[in-house]
Amino acid sequence: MKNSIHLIALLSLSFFFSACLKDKCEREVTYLKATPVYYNLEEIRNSIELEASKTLKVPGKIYYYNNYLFINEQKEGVHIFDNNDPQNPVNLGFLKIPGNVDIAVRQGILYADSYIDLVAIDIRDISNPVVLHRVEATFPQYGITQEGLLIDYIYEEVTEMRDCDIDGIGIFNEQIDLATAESTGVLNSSGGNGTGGSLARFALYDNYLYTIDYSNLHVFDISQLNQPTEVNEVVVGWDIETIFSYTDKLFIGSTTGMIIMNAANPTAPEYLSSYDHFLGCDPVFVKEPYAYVTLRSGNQFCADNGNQLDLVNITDMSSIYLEKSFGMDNPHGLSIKDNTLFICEGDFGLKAFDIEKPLELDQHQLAHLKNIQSFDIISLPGTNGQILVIGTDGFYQYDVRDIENPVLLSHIPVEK
Amino acid sequence: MILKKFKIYFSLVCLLLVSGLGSAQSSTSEAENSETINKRLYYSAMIGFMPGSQDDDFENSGLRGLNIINFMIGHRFNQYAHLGAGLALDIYDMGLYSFRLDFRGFILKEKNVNPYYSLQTGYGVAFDLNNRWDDRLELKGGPLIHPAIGLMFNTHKAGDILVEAGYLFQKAARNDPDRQRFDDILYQRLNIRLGLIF
Repeated sequence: MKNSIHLIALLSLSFFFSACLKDKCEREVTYLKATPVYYNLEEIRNSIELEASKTLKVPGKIYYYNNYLFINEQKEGVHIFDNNDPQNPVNLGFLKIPGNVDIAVRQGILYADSYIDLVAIDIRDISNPVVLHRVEATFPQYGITQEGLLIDYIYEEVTEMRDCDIDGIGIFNEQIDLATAESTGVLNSSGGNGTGGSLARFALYDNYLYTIDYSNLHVFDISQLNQPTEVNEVVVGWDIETIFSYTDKLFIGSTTGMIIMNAANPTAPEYLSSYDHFLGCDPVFVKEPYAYVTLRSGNQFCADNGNQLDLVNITDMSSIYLEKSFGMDNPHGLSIKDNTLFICEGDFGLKAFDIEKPLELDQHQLAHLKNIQSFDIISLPGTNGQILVIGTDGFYQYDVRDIENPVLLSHIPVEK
Repeated sequence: MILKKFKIYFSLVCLLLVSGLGSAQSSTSEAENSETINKRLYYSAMIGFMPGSQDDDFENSGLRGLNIINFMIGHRFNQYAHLGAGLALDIYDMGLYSFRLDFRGFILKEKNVNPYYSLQTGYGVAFDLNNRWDDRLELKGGPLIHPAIGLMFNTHKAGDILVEAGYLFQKAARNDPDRQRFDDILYQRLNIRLGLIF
């Protein structure tokens, strides 16, 4: 009987001891690991300078001012070219502006984003740019942390074994949009302004510079050109991508629609009207009575819903509506010169349409340059018939006075 | 719920154990010699439970652990070396049929209570305990090893009672493509078993 008691005691003890027992389970998980990249904010703020000329690597937006051509190198700065001779643009140097995506120029003052800051740079002496003023921490899409300014993530696919009871397995496809380059800027060209493309996130009107982040419209007073001051911030919506200034209206493109803001009171633009479309990236160009809106698919931001050109009737800007859509290949930026509509079709080249009868434009394709890549375009004012085109393979400049036979004036290739 | 089932199971095992020991005690006075230990061929059948936990989120079944049956047949070379083979069925959050080799030996000779050592090793084949209509779960077994020590209680009848405590290491794997998971599992369980040897 004593043995029995001992044995039962042993078994009971082992049963309760068994609560400490635990299987080993390792789980193979594959995920997208996002490693944050931090920059020292002070170093960033002290590093704006003109460097020796460089070749294009990852070109972003283009901008034109007083025969100078500015080509953004994504998040690094701006290549500056003297374009007095369009057949032979001269590379003057590289203006290093860390985190730069957009620029706008008025009367020799260049306004640029530099991660979270807006910087005013005097470029009247192009060989000696001078930083005049900095509006600090005005763009919120970058995080300031103890480690520094969080400017990006490096993504890598990782497969590893982890304990099964750990639920969290790193950062999955974390997307913090850090202003990837998809804008250039069609600017109101009055008053010594430069000209940008339709993918802009900067726009000039009256004495104000308007910039957009992913949900807000920032209003900067630039009546004192050398000292921009943020005077207002207006909530517009989500996933804002582009801004186009037309008379006293601001046409704002988002991934889900186009919004018209009334800037009759320039310091406090107000919502006027909008139209919704399927999820897609949508730069805007305006020529009354239509707003031309391209919608494209093809990446994680633009979804994959289709590629088309929408004609939105804006005769009554307080009550706009979609009038007609046209199928496209992969439309990006666009521009209009007189009655010619240019549409950048990404890897499918550049197309030109006669829009004398806008609702029949698909029947009047004038040209299709298939052998270039293009994502944004500027058609320069004047009678020279110049268009400036930027694509992933470089910068192109054409004479399109004979639109059916465009003449390539120059090409600045991307370093491969 | 699972814990409650274990308590019931544990109670049954204890009941069997007590009754078996009682039988062994009452028989002690009738004969001193075990009738099984001197036979050349031996058969053993055991059941047991294997408490432990897995703590992952699969099926929420971390406490499940039963050794439903463990049947061995083998040859006695001498008191210290018995070699056999057999089959077992174990239940965790998956089921595992295993083929096992069995080695055991007894410390003493012809005692009413005889300590013994045992080592089983083999390979388990996994099966799913749940019938999922959209089952794409792939289960895979693996090798096992199970050292144990125990006591044999001489009943002086056809079969003697075995009570043992061991530790089971069983490898297995689970591939759940719907959740994009591949789990490499090592069950490591205390194994309390009760059985008979003939």
